[in-house]
Amino acid sequence: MELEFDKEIDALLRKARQDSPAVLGTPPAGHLDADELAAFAGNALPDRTRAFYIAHLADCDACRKTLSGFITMNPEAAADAASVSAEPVIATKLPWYKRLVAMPNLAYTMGALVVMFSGIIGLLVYQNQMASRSMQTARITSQEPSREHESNEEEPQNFSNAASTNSMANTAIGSPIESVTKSGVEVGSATAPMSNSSVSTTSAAAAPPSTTADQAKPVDNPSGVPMNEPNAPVKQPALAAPQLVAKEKDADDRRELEDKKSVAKTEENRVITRNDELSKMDAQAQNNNMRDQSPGSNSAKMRSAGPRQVQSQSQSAQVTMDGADVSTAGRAVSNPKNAGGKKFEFRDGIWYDTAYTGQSKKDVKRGTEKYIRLDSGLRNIADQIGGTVVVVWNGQAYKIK
Amino acid sequence: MAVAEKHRKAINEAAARLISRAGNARGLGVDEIGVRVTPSVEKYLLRDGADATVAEIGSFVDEIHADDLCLIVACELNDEKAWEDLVANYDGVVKSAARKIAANSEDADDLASSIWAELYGLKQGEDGKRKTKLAYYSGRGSLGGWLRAIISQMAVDRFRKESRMVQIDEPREFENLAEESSNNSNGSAVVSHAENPEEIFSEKQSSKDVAESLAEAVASLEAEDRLILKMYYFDDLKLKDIAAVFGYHEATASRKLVRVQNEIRKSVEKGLKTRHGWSDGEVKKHLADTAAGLGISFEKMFAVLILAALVQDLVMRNVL
Repeated sequence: MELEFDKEIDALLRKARQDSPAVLGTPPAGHLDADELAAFAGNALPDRTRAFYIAHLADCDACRKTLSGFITMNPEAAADAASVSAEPVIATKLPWYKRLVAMPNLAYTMGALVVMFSGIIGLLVYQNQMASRSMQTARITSQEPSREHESNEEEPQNFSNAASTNSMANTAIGSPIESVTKSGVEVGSATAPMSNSSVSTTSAAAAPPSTTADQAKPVDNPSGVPMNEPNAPVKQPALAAPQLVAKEKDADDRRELEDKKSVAKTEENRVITRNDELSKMDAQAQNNNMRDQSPGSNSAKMRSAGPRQVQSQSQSAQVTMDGADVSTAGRAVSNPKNAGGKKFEFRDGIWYDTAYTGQSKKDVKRGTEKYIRLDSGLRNIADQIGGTVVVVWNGQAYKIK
Repeated sequence: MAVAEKHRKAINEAAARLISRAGNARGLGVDEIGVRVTPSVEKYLLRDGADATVAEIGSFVDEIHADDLCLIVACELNDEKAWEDLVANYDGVVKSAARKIAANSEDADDLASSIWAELYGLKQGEDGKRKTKLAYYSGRGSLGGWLRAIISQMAVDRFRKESRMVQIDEPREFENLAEESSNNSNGSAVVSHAENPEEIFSEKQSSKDVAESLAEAVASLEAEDRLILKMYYFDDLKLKDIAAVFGYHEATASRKLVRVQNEIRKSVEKGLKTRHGWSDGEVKKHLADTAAGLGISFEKMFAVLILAALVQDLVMRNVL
């Protein structure tokens, strides 16, 4: 049934209001107080009591007008209060799984979940960073054994160069084994002592003691011939020499592989003591430089020594120096530089801050706005060092080109 | 009615819960709250000898605004901090309500001052205690609403003293149209003025019959319908506000109003026919003349109704 607004009755009622506002209904005895009116307007009365107040307000013009005035005064507040039905403040007991998702418990639960997952993600990121750092460090340190190995190979060449320049008997020999073998073969030659001494120096200075000591030992006596008896006859037949050489080569190769494995195993410990070793070696190199310049240096002694002694001394000095270079050759450090209280080493064309341990770097080009925004102290260091520099500044590594 | 012992226990238990859920109980104890809550229980639940279960009493007290009630009780006990908080938090409410009622700012300030004086209680009773309106706050409604109700009551009382009739409504559109129409020179919708005494008497008698039938029709309505009708026609409240008081939607209030109009029509027609001997034709003619007597043509009324319905629809859709 469609109800239409009755215009005639509407007009009739409005006319009735105009004629006599109080004509309808007689006011009952007793009026409602403010508390009752406010509670009624706020829909805060019990149902059975509410009917009583409706009946009173329907017939009491004064109370009704007071109520209407109250509503007109703040209709928004009255509407809000009425729209929210009065609920018991003490909530009914919910099961635990419903309590979890009931607001504001749901908010707390979601917040706790967010915090937990953030912590897990942060931990994973941190672990990844640490792993990447260790990998970078491993990569850097893995280059050293290869460089040392190269230096070991070079050193005999150096030695051979040194020997060849100083010895008529020692021709240019590619490997220490060949030189030893040849020296073993050329027993009794005038160069034997030289060879022996050179071999011994080779073995002594060939490498860091721990790794190439094994090499040194067989090098010392690969053929089993006592080296200190230059005049002792060669007991093995000359035809077995190539086979011996091949066998010795294989043994050496195997030893090299084993050494590489041991290097890889001890690599982590090396990372920790690397800086100390480098600093010691730097100090040694500097000392060597200073010694050369001092009056009592080897070069001075060599000048006063005889030819053969000079040759041996120079060779030993050269080897020593080469050894010093060899020990640091794996890192190809020429002369470390100091700037701004920091030490820098030159590697692969880049000056590295000794405090740099492989962390992520920020690339900055000189002359750019980014470079200008850097700290002045950092820029001074980069300018002093020159070239491409990796500087650790305030915990952050910068690669300045 | 005196509160029974079983009710007292339930009240005290509920009072303890009230204190625990109050954000600031202001050091009040169960006894103080229980004594304060008991009159409310008697007034609203145990009215006219009615009984209430323990659960109903507990539910009733649980719905009380705990913080507001504790504040008022503390003020009654002359807690200075409570008074400071009351004034600080509700002086704005009082002044705002006073400004809406008073004609100017001076009257508004005067009204607000009167309110605070009434709340504080400058007069003393026979027992020597201050007579304060704070004692009438039960906590069922919000404290802000209660303060506004007090101001509204004081305003009505004040205006009633100044004039016999309280005019708080504004002329409706129909009345404006009626005035315009009556001033219309062509007289197309002017209320007919009878020239001979018989017609004058007849018109008066007709109006009297209609008024009586209308009064009977309104009196025969249910209380809620009657209240809705009066609030709409005599107090000029909007359907939205009326609906909010009763806790339902504005569309529901509109449907109720239309139903009430139909009931009144039936009752008025029946009363005019049976009690006053009118015929169908006379009833229809008079109602039509009454609508026309307001100086409104059907077309204009229809256009205004369309416009009102459109505005109401836009408001409901929160466009306006």
